[in-house]
Amino acid sequence: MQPVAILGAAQTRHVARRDDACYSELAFEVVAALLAETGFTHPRIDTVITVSSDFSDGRTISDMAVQDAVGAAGKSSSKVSMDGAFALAYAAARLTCGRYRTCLVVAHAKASEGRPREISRAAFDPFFERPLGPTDHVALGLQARRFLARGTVTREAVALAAARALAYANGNPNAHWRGALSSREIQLGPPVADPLHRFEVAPDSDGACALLLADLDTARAHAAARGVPVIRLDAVACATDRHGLGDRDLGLPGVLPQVARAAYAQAGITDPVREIDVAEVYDASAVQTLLWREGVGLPVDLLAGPAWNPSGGALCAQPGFATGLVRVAEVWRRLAAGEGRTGLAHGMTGFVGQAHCVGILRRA
Amino acid sequence: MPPDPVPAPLAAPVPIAALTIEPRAVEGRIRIPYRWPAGRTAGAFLARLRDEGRLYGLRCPRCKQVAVPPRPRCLACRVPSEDWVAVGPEGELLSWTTAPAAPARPAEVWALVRLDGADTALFHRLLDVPPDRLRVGLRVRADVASPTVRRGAITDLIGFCAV
Repeated sequence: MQPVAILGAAQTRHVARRDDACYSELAFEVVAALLAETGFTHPRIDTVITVSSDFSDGRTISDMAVQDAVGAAGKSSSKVSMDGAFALAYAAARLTCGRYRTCLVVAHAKASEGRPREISRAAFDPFFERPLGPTDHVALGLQARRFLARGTVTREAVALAAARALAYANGNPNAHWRGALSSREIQLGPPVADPLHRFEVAPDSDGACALLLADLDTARAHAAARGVPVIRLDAVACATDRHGLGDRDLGLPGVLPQVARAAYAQAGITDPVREIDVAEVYDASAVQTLLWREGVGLPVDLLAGPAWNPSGGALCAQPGFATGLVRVAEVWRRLAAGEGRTGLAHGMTGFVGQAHCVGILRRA
Repeated sequence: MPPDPVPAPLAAPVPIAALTIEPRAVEGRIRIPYRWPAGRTAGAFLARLRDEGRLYGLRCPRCKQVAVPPRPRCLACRVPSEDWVAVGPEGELLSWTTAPAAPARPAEVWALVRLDGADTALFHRLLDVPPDRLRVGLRVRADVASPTVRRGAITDLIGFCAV
């Protein structure tokens, strides 16, 4: 693809409950922060993509309810009702078509307003699955058992991944969960979806995230004027897998290896272990922290290769469809701060990774 | 006509940050009935479950893989699958989990079961399997409701018991 660039990223703190802000105010919060950070004003934003879930917001056409907050009046706007990382592909397409020079992407979610487990039930197939009452956590538990049955990692390694995420989150002011728990303490905690325990399943968070993307000329002019590096988006790849819970082996990374290979090919990456400095993936469970690592072609050993979810990952903050966009924002922030040159950001949609999206960011 | 009232002087604007904002919330519930026709494939599976008390899959004419739940096209070959084949009633436990059930539902053990003769797995529930017997690969058997109460839903299959 023609390279585009990410000029800035903003996110809220992700917390259990934001009673002080309705969801359009939450979206406004990150847009205002992003404009302040980049020095952009609304007239210089050509097109807007918002990311939201109607079921989560309790309001159909939920994107229209945030259009004022994101300054979309008079502009071409559209919506992604999937994980926010997929909005990267949409934004990049809009920019590379040549009609727009800048694109604002805004995702919001307030898990506290509804009942995430009950809402998740509505996504299951109504003929074979939904009458049995499963939730997203049930799918995570089934996946975890399949993954452990492969015998490639131990139960202990999964708990360690959760403990490590909490420890990393201590350095992330936006994290919903942080702490100092041992893998043993985590395994003794309350079960959420057997074999997964509390802290091995991502929290339900309120939060929002916004990115500003632009074509490379605009990005270069912006970088020169502000004295900041250009962070390019060199690749975006997505793919979707089968829908039924029993139609694919949940213990395998599914279509993610194919998505990662496509992203690496676009970005000219031949050795991801050496070339990627930082990676942020949407891990809805500590099993996914490890499984998606395998999926993007990295060794199981969390200490080998790139910094892996140094923010704590989705395990420490999961603001609905904003979660994948937060991964992009975290990678962007670290590259902009000089913590590496190449980063991988991953998002997913559907139960236990039915669809995956991988973006490759590079500091020019 | 009385004279126009003299307009009151405008109050000095108060910055919003200086106001004490009382968090208010509006509560609601969206309750919308739906009716989802099951279509030819799921519909046939559910009708046979009701009428015969048996589980069927659809076999791909090319790769011969049998999909349960049935899919009208082979998910691998993309060709129409039209051969119904009886599967089970025994099968292999591929995965299970317990998770706090939705409100007003008893705690359940959910499972993925690959029925004998099938190549994909059916999501359903496990019935009364002692925890110490649970393992991937456990042989299980379908427990179907009696003909008088079957109504053509996936819950006509009550669940799976250990063989």
